[in-house]
Amino acid sequence: MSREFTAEKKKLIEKEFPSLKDVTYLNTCLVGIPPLRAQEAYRTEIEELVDSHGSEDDFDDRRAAAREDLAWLIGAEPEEIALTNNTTAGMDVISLGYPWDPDREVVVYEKEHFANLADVLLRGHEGRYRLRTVPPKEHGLKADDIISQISEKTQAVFISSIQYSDGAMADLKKIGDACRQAGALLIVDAIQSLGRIRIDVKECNIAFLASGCHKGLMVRNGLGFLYCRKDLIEKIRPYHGGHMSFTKAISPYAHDFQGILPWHTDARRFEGGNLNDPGVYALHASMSLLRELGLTEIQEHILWLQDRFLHYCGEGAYEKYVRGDLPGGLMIFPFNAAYREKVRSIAEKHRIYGTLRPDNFRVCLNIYNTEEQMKDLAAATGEIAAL
Amino acid sequence: MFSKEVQDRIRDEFSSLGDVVFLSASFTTMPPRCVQDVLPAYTRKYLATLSNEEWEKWTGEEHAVCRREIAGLLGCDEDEIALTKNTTEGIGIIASGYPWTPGKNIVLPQAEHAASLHSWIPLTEKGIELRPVIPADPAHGITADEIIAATDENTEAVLTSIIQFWDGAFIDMEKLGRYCRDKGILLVVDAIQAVGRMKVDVRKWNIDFLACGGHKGLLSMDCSGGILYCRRGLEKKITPPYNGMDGTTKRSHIEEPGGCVLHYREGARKLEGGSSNTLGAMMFAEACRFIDSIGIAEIEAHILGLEDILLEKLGDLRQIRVAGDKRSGIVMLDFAPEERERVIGILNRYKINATVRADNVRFCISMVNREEHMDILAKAIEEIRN
Repeated sequence: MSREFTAEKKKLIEKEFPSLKDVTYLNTCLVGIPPLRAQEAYRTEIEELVDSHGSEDDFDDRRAAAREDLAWLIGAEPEEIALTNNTTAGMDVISLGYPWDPDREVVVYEKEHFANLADVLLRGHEGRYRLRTVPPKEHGLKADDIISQISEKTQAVFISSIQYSDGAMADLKKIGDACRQAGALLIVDAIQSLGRIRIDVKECNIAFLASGCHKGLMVRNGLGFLYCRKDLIEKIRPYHGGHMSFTKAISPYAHDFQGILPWHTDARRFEGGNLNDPGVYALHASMSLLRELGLTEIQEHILWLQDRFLHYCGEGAYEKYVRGDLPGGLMIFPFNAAYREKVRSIAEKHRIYGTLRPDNFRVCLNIYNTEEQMKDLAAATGEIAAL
Repeated sequence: MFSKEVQDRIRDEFSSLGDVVFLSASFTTMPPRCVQDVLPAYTRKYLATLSNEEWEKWTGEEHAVCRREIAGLLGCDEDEIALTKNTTEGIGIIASGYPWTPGKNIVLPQAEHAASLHSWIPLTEKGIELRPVIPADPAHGITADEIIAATDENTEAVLTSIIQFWDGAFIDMEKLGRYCRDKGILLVVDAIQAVGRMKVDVRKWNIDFLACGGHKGLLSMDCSGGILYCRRGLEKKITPPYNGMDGTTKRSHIEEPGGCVLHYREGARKLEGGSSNTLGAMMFAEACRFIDSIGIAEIEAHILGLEDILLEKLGDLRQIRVAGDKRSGIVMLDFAPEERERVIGILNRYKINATVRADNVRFCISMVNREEHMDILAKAIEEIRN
């Protein structure tokens, strides 16, 4: 279902993103723009630290609030959420710490983002599991491309909820059902979806999910999180641990050097050392905006924008620009590499900011975009296609 | 001791402290105004950087500047610095990524901080012995000689904090480092209690790996992340636990013959995982510039000068503990656990911000302190003792 935001919500967004007033910002797939309330949260956090002379003592409460926010976002429980610094950190906790069976397979798409692909490949190369790779798909990855590779030998599937390379959104629920039937773990890099397109980890049978918070969650880079299904938490040995990872502070001269450590039994065991607390504070602020707007309404608005864009492009646009199983508000517009500078000029003329790559232009729709901008984007992509 | 001009500048940069006697730099930090001012500058730039090319250029440059500034402070080259999340992560990369040899041992003070200690404990399952060192006199803290005495021909590494978090013991790093290098033992250090307060020289001290967070002597904040120094060449032996965009090049790997070979970036950047923390990097760089503008040798001299004054005022050294081979500007005062609330009351009355534990209080002198603070602290200690 697609539907535009109400006038009241549009007004709220205008107020929260004044810097975007005169531009069409379509680069949330690179970095999101923090709303004013998140910018304010960073400032307040520094002021509070300074004013209290470093004696703030509500860090635990703030971190707990952020875990609750993230659990709400993906339909999990707060105990299943660990705060990290980026997607890679979350993914690597799993690929390095899970007790893999070396004789079983891990399925991964070859065009995945490096944030999870690099480590998945490396651990496979180390012999922790067998790799089964899915070759690039011209029209984007679909659930069936993955499902056809799943067998009784499969122990896990690594996949991005939306592919960063071409915006393809595979049907996660369908993959999750197939994983359930095969007894395989579904591991998701969700950074291109969260804050824009809903993901429910229980509904999709997701075992692990990792994301940074600097795209759709609209916090600056340096904060991420990991969801770990409750029954799997204690199977994973964190590769490092700090005072945040343990149930109690261990007094010097009382350390146990035999490997028995009082790890948290919940996902906090994956939070080693100091966290990015101003980021945590800003995340809570950003999430309050998402709560006000409503996750369903946000998704509907984004899909409505994509509908409008496709409408302005004319017949055949859906088949041309929507890859994978479902629309996810992220699209690419290929061009001949020789025309890259011309594409840049077109984007500049329309004041459109997307990701300019060597041979395609990537755009990502978010809460701060409007129908007028979709009309303009359709005009710009028409000019690109005509080159 | 600082000149009046420098003292005035520091008072201005840390004006928010007012009449508070801040002696908690071993726990957290007070960012100077110049570091606080990074946030609005960063926000303006962030909001104005809308294209991927500008973004990559800007963040790449800021991260490079940060590595360069940190390298200047530590006496190494920028390609030996990786940006990390915190001390724990930096130490964890070394503990879990270096190919430690089963049957060998790693020597470390028993009282190391959890941030650096616990990453090593899983190595025991791979047949690597962890050999904790307990000082002969815990009140005096650990020394370089005691660590050296615990090593043998099977020692592969020594892990230690330069300054121990628990009691402020400052280990003679020159002695320890020379010994380790001569014996072919790797020296891994947690430097968070030293960097920004004491002059740390990774070359002179023969340090192989150094991890540090930004929220103490480096005058940044929790959001700033951490850094990892890796002596040039050693990174080649490490398989990073984190493998993402920042540590690898963008070349495709999957179709290469022989399997999945990752192409890492040159130098310590190989050890950087996913997207780095640009705000933190900018804060680090500004803090380094600020420290450099005063001079790390001058800061160290100022801190130790103030400690001299404090000790002189106290007269009877038995009142406080000064641990380790060298003085570090960190002193401890023990008390009976039942006295804790009374101690807190006295410190509050004197507006002293320090680290109060169950049965001791840790005072950490830093660049923000002045002679008058030592007067106040001495009076407070006397009152606690009486």
